[in-house]
Amino acid sequence: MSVKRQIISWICLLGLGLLASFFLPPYFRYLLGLMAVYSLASIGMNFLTGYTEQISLGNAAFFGIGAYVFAVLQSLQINSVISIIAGAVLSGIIAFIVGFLTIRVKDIYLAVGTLILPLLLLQVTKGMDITGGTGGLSVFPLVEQENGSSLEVAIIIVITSIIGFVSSLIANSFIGRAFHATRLSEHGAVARGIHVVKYKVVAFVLSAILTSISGSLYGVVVGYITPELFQVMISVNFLIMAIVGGRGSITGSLLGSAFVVMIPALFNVIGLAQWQQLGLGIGMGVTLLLFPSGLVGILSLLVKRRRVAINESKPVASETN
Amino acid sequence: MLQLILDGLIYGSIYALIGFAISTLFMTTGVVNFAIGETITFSMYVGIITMEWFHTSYLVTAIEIIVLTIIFTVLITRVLVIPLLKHGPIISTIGTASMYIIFPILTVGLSTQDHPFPKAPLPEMNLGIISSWDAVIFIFTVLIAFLLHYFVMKSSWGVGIRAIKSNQSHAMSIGISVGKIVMITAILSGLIGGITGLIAAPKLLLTHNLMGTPFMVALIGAVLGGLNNPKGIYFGCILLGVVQSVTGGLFGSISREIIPIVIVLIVLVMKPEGLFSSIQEKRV
Repeated sequence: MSVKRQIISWICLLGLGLLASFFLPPYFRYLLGLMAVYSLASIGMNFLTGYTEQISLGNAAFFGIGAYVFAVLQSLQINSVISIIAGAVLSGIIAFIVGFLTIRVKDIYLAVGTLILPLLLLQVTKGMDITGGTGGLSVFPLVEQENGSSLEVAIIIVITSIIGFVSSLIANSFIGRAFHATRLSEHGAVARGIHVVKYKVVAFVLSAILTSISGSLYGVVVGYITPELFQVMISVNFLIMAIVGGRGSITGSLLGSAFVVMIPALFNVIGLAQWQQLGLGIGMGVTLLLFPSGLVGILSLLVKRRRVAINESKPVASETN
Repeated sequence: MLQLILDGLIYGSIYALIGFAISTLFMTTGVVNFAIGETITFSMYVGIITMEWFHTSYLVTAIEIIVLTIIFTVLITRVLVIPLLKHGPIISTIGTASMYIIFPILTVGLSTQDHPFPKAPLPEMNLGIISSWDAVIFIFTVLIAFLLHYFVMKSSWGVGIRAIKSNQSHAMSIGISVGKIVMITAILSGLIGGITGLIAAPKLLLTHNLMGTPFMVALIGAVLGGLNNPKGIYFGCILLGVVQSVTGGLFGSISREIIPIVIVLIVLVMKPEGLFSSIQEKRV
């Protein structure tokens, strides 16, 4: 995708999001905020799982670090932007160390190796006073209003759009191409002069930074954070977003986060709240079986059909993106 | 101290059993069945409810639980694992994660309570330092470990499993029916899973979270020892169980969680394929 088309589509998305944030009723506004927040974590997971095929169950750790650093610094009256950046930097450093240590570890071994991180932090946050123990901490909104107000969600949408745009630039740059090459064949990538170790660590750090920012903003949307953020299920959720949405695709990440937020919410709205996880599980299984490339597969199928309909006589250009 | 080590051995045995259930399917498909723990819990709940309503005997209930676990595992393998496998093991793993989400809801739909699960009607023995049920857990685990080891290493199906493990297309070309062997490992995984439930539930109390934490610890223990061979899983899980129990007893409950985790991290950094994994698999 050319840069111009990327800019246009992100501006459209931002416009839609802003419009929705001012006109939707509170519950849906909250869901919108949650979706925007999770989309960053989903993009982060996609850089790791979709682009370089490293499977990690440790991203909940970075989510939690982002949330806790933000909340603790906020209680010390430090500027919000600095708090978010501080969380991201801390996550980046930890991810650099972990990514470097686990560079030889692959597949499920890597998943378990990274799983250790949130398990460790779960105990640490439960035990420390500054993190509020098992009760957690409350997070105040970015501007002087209540959590989840229109302005609040609008600000979050602006922030996530900007970061999402930057990540789509990265995904389409030489870094993204190096990630793809690494996934397709490590030996091939080395033969083409790509420093595989470097790019694997870069993917890890990038993923951690995005997830950490997502964690900080999650606190703002929801209003409180607990050590539950370090649960394995959170990491699994991010994995679901990245894979059900579409591996190696930013659009897919956004669709994935919408899927994970909207399906349970749908069950909530029609009054079947206790079955929401069932809907999520079945939806996931069916989507994967019908569209193994993820929800983004539906989108590309539709686009292809339309193109065929428009130029019936002309041959269709092969879809690579 | 001796008591702590013994406790660790018993818990390690339960982890090892779950580890075997995970690894049998992993050996042929490279997929960790995330749903195995929840499948076991669901089958146990079905079992206890039929026991309470229809007053079935222990043997009938036990067979029912084992058969149910096998059916669910085979279904998961058939419907989710094999069709998604051609897109890579990660997708298959996430496919099983969908069942990891679904099964707990079904279990809650069945019964919201915790149930004490009866022990097998075996003669009670006075063994002094450990209870006779703990002895049953330990002996059964050792037995299953040996049987599994011999099955994988010596039987003709075991040869098929090892062939698929090392190179699937090669195994296919020399006439090994990959689909059949995968189904055999799925049945085996379900069988071990069902037995695990029967053995663990009287010790741990049948709750909705019966297999929640044990599954995670078993996965970590299995990775610690090497997911590909029964011996590694057995010693990895036992080691983890003992370390957990001893550190927990000596330094309190937080260290019970943290110290084993740190050990695993160190081992993985030093030896990414696990402690007991053979070097053979590293050959290029």
